[in-house]
Amino acid sequence: MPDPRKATTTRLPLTGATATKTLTPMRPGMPAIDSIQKTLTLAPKAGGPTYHIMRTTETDAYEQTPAALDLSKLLRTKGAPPTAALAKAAKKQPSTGDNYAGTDRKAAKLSKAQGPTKVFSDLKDLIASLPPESTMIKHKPKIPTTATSGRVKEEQQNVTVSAFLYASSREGDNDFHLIVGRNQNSAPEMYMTMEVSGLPPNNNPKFDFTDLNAARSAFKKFFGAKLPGAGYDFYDPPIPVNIEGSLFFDMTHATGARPGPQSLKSRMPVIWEVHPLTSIKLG
Amino acid sequence: MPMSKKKKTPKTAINPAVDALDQLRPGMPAKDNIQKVVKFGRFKILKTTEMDAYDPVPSPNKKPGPRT
Repeated sequence: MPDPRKATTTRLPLTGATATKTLTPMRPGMPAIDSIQKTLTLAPKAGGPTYHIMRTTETDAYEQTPAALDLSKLLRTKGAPPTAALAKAAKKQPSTGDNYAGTDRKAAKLSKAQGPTKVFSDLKDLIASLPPESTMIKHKPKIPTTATSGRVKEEQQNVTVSAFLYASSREGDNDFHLIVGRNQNSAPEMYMTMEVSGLPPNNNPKFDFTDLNAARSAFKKFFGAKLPGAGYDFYDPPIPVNIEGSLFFDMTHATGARPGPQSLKSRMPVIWEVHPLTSIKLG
Repeated sequence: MPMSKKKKTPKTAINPAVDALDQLRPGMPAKDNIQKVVKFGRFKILKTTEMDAYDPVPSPNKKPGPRT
């Protein structure tokens, strides 16, 4: 009997269209097959590996941008959602430009940690090294979510990690959410959010414009015209990535819906993030 | 002014029953979808907010109709 984990398909059930590549829906880190709106090919370097982008309708559950709301509304229908409306909604950008447009913990999000850099070759070890969520929620002093909320002691840590990029999306505050995981053959599966931040003003010494800009430029250059929008883009195969950045506790989402696409969220054990990224090497 | 006796819901609730679950066990729902944990003999029922994507958002005043 054939192994059902290796079953393949080229049919996208959401639209009835044919994928540009044969998909393996049961591969760890894949999105739900009915969330894929279309597939694209990505060849970032001539002669280098080719990746496939699965553009999905998955968004962070709490996102309120018109793009995210349109996607969610279109899916709440029996039968096939209108293809043209779906394509239009998926194309809609939740934000424009490169500047950071949010407020929550802005001071922490736009600055690097002052501590040393710890190197991790497995995301599992990075996640295991993080202080428990309950400690951070009850942190003394309390971690406010106001714009002036700076880094607390536990966040004064930089990390370098080698892992794989499984999915990414663009948020209303101009951050790119990267869903980073272990090698697809490693068990247990686990993923963590890492963010290519929107940029701070380049003339304010409180923020680290140069490093944040370098990471954002590298991310944008790799994807070119195929940057993600409001819905998560998933990658096949997952893209090898080397990331440097600062640890950050997402106090805003300590209660209520947490970040991440529905298909992977159950395997995202922490709301710690690497945020901001100060360097990223893809492929 | 007298203090209200109504218990305040903490802004950052930590639910020990949810925290005690093995979140990475295959087949688990996302932690933030678990609304409560109910004991059921030697099992636990995880009541979640998940529903089929095509189901209309239920109105709080309406009883759900038959499943189709």
